[in-house]
Amino acid sequence: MTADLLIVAFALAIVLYGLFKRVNCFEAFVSGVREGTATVVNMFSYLLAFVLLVSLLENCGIVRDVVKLFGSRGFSPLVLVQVLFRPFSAASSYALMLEVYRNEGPDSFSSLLSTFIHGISDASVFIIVFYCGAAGIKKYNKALLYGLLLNLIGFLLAFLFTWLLA
Amino acid sequence: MGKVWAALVAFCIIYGLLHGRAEAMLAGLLEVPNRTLGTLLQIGGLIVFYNGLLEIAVKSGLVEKLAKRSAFLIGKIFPKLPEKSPAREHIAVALVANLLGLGAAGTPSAIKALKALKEGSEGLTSEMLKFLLLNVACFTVFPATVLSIRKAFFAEMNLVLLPFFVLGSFLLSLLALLFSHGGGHDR
Repeated sequence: MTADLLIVAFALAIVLYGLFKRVNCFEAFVSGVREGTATVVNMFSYLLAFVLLVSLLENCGIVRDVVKLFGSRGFSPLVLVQVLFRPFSAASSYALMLEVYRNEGPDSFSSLLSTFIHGISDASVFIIVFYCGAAGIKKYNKALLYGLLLNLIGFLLAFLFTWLLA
Repeated sequence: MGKVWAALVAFCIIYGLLHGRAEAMLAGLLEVPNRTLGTLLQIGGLIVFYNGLLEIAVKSGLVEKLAKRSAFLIGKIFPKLPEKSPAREHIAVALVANLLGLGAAGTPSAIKALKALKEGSEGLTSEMLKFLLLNVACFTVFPATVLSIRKAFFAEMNLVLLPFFVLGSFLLSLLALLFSHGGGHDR
C-alpha cells in the first residue's frame, strides 16, 4: 500500500512540477517513451541469449541433480538455483523468489533469504555486459570479476541478515 | 564473458545429452523466443513508462535541480569527472532511480552516462568501473517492487526488512568504491 502510494505520488509530483514549469508534458512523455523503446528493442538480443542459457540449465537436468544433492539442508533448494541465476538475470531471480514464497510462505527462512538475495545486489553480469555493449565498450573482464565478487558478498550478507531475523 | 556463456551452453548440452534429456532441451529451446518476449514486455512496459516520466522531469528542470543538489556528492564520488561533463546529470538520474528501487527506469540514463564517461578514452577507466559497480550494488532507500510483491503475498515482515536492505546495499556500495579505487586503467 505505502509502496504503491509512494510510486503514484512520485508520478504525480513529476507531472505537477512539469505543469508548474509550463512544459509540454505530453510531448516530453512521448519523446521519453520513444527513447525507452529503443533501449528495450536493443535489449532483445542480449535477453534472448540469457533466456537461452537459463532454459538449457533448467532442461538439461543439472538443476534437479543439484537439488537432489542439497535437498534437505533446512532451506529450499530453489534458493540455490536463484543464487546461480542472480548475476545473470533479475527477472529469473524474481520469478524464483515468487516460487519460494508460494512453496514456503513469505515469512519463512527460505523466503527471507531469497528476498535478500534478490534485493541487496543486482544482476552484475547482465548489467555490465548489457551496459558496456550498448555504450560500445569491448573490454570489461575486470568489471565482471568485481561485479561477481559484489554479488557473492551480497549473498553472504543476505544469509547473515536472514539468520539475524529468523 | 562470451567464453563463459559459450562454455555454460556447451556444458549444459553435453550434460543433458549424457542424461538423455535431449527432448526436454529441444522443447525448452523452442520456448525461448516466447519467454524472451514475455520478459521483455514485462520489464519493457516499466522502462518505457518511467522513461516517459523522467523525460518530463528532465524538460522541467527537476533533474537538473536534483543533480545540482547532489553535485557535491557526485563530485566526491567521481573526482576525475570534469565540472561541465554531461555525464554528471545522467549519473544523477541513474543513481536516483536505483535509490527508489526503480533500477530499470534508470537504464537509458545509465547507458548515456557510460557513453559520456567513455568520451576520449580507450577501454575501461576507473570512473567507468566505479559507475558500473555502483549499479550492481544498487544502493536503495526504498525497495519499491520487493515491498509491494510481499504485500501481495500477505507477508507479515515488511518494514522490518527495510533497514537490512539499506544497510546491505550501502555496504556493497562502499565495497564498489573500494574495488574501483585503483582498478581499471586511466589515460
